[in-house]
Amino acid sequence: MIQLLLLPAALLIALVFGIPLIRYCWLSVHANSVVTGLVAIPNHGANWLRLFNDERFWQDSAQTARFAFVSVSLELLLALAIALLLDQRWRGRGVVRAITLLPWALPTTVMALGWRWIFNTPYGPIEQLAVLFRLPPLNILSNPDITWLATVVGDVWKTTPFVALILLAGLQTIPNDLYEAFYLEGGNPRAAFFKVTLPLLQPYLLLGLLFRLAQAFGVFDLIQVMTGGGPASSTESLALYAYLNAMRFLDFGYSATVMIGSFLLLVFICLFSWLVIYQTRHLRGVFK
Amino acid sequence: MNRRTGWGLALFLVLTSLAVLTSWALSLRPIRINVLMPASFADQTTELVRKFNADHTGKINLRVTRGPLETEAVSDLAISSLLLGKSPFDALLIDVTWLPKYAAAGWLAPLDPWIDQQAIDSLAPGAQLGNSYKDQIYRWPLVADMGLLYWRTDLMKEPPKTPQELLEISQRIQQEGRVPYGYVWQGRQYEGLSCVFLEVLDGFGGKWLTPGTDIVGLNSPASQKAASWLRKLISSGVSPKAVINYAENETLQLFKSGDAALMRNWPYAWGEVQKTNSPIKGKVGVTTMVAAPGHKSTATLGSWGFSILKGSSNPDAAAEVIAFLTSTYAQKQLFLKNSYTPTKAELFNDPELLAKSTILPILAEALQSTEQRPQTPLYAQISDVLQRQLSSILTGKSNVNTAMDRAQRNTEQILLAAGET
Amino acid sequence: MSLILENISRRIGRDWIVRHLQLEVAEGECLALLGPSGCGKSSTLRLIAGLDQPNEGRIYINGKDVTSVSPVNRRIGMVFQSYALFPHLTVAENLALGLRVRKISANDQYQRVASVLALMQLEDQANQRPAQLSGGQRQRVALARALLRDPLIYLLDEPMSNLDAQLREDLRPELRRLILKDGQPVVYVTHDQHEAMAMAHRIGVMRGGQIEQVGTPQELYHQPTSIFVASFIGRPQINLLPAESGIITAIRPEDLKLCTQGLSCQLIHREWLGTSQLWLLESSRGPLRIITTGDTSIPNDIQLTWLPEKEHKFDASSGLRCN
Repeated sequence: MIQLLLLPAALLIALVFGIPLIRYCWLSVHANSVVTGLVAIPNHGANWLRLFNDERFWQDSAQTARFAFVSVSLELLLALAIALLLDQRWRGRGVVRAITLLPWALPTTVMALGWRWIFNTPYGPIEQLAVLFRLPPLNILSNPDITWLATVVGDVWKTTPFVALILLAGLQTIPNDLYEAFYLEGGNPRAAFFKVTLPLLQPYLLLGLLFRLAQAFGVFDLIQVMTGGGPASSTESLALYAYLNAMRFLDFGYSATVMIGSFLLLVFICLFSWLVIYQTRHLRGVFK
Repeated sequence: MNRRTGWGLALFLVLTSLAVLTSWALSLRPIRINVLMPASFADQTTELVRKFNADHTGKINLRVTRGPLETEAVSDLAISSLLLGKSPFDALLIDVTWLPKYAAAGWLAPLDPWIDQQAIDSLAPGAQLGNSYKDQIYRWPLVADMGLLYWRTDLMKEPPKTPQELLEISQRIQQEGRVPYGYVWQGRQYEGLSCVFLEVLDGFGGKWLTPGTDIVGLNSPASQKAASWLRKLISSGVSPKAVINYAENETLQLFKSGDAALMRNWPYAWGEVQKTNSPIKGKVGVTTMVAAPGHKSTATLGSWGFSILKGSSNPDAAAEVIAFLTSTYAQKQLFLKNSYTPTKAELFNDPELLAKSTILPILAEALQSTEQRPQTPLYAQISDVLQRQLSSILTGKSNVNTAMDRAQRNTEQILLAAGET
Repeated sequence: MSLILENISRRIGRDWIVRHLQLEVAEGECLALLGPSGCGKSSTLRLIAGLDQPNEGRIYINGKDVTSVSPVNRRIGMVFQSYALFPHLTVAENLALGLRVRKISANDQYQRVASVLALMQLEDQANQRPAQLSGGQRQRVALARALLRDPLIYLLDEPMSNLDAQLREDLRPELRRLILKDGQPVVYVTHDQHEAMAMAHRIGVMRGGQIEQVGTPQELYHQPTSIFVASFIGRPQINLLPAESGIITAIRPEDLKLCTQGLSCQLIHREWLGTSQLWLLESSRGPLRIITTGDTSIPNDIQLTWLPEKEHKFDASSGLRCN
């Protein structure tokens, strides 16, 4: 009976997720581009062969993974701190909770333009600060070694509130009794954080991690607006590459291959992260 | 005649009259033409659209769909609508570089039925370029656009003519401490960088892609000189390192605030630097890009024009719309109000226009020496390859030889792969 | 070993949660705090544990003033209403956690957890998690944790409220034996008077943050000092007759007797209680409840009487006993 009730949801998922996936898989074994007059011609895995030999795909994979891991880790740390703060009772907490969500509500393209301006050389506030401290120009958006960090800053700024919200929800499921019992047993607040809060928050941390990892792995508009993938292609993401292939190059066959390729990488990375965390002792209990 | 037949006849008469009336009303209903334009164009043409609709009441109803502000986002929107099958648009306003791609994809209707030699001859020479693909006209130009060199009349007597002069003049002015930066341009990894490079490449006597062939000239000596020169602009401090992420806006911002002696930009920037709030108002001259001795100065052609979609059910009406929006009358209005560079040759000698703008003769001259980016459906791909390698050179990640060799090889591979399919 | 609360008060905002509370629990004594919800019984427990601070008054454990001593240093063995077991830890880990944070050696930890597991008959559950245990087992784990604390006093906050009725009755003697075996004073919070009577030596009936009356179950039942205590203790509830010249008379339902000449009543409703039965009657002096033996049949004409010494008399305005 219960399976029958799940049927509509399952059908919906199949529709919005399964059909495009099948379509992309099919496209990825066809040549379908402006050269073929947008007609799909089977090309016997040539797209996949090209993908494996495509340095740019692997470079973008590494860059996307770097971006995703660094921003998601920072987001989790910051969000945890914010969630702990917002979980405390203090005057004006409601207002601050609402304000914290503001970055999340802002459209990505708008905020990416904002960050592009903030990092602008020589007029942006960051460079102005550098002038104040008599530093040479930082040229943050023109340095292939550090520009990606600026995109991380933009992403962290935007999505930390979302992760904080998940973790705050998690914190509120932890009964106060547990802390009191722990204090009566001789624990201090620091120990309570590591022995009570963290283990009980782990399902929420994992949720935030996987959710954000998947999102960050598909980062597109932030990069597109902030750097356009440059300088020296150092910030190009897989999604941007897939987009270029489809919408700019009109090469839908290869674009689908890039998309399926990055999807497989994402599945692999999520499974890997999940396994790593699942292996830790505490979590085993929570998930049993 | 009994009662039943009487009622039947009455009903028949009522129904047929209704049918006749409806079809008559339908035939009177104006043909609707929907044109997609980038936001700025849609905003600037509202008055023309109103006039057109007033003149065509009952016949054609022109609707303009205001697209996104970013030009590439407009392309995304158009392509998405075309991929879904029946596009809601009859005509598009498209960039010069999109044409071969759209035409090859089979989305555009040839304009030849509506265009004769006389119409072509009425265009300024530069505006005649970039409208056709495989000997068929697919686009009719609305606005001409070309790369220009802006210079500060208060900082130098004459603008630089050669790349070497540009370096020297800039450095001299910088050393005198009159401006922090010499020359600003678009160095961000995007289409603008290809435009910048094309001008410099031609200025050194090179050729990106020889038209009608697959001959790529990106690792030629001229090409290496061009790339080295751009790199030197940054390494010598003539251009701020920040140009590596500069698009038009950032470039204009820096030049407009008076912090640079020279700028590469499009004609729209003229209106901006001449605004009353501009600190450099009246101190700016415009010329064409520098070229090495013995080579011709060129301007990258960027222009916008109308195309009719193959799927349009009223191509004749769409052609009428395009004829009006690109007419001498319309172009004159657009220039007087918004400084849109005309494409009709006669307008460059129009006294009213000349009185309004001092740079019109310079634009006319630049339009004589415009250069097109490679005319191939694969342009976006090969431009992307070039941008990657140039950005890599500008940041110092790769040296000029390696990067330009790679650009050459990748471009050849793309063209070759397309030939095989 | 003893616990003394001296004039304890706690306020949240303008509301007094606990007011001028005086209490003494002796060695080996179990004192129940009984009252309706919101009467301040759990708040009192939290004050004793040190989880909250009193605004006034002092708390002494074994004669030592612990008012400003931290919860951990008061050495409290507490059983929470929810049991407050850590869901991510096994039973053994739950029990060892306190020992670990108190830096007891690993060997000792093992010894002590093993012995308390044996005492509580929880050996088979040692490696299970709280979610896998029955309600009774969870309560035993919570109690085991309190025992391991080696406490100076025990505080139990509604330890039975999460269990079903039958289990509650079954567990009472064992729970009582375990918490009293080492002679520590026990404070036992409950809202269930039967449980309070079964568990405690003395009961403190609380109302509005104050203790209304403290005494043995028998004292509370037979000599209630106020209408509130009289009505709160004893089921079915005591009969309150309307005030006559400022005095309210109260009679327990079992003290009413059938007779041939007395207060005339009509039967409204009858409930069988097995060995006895409860009648709800309507009389000229208001509704009355009477308990009769199971075999009593309903007479045609119901007449009631009672012995004068069974009457409890209360002042109508103050609600206090006046006989």
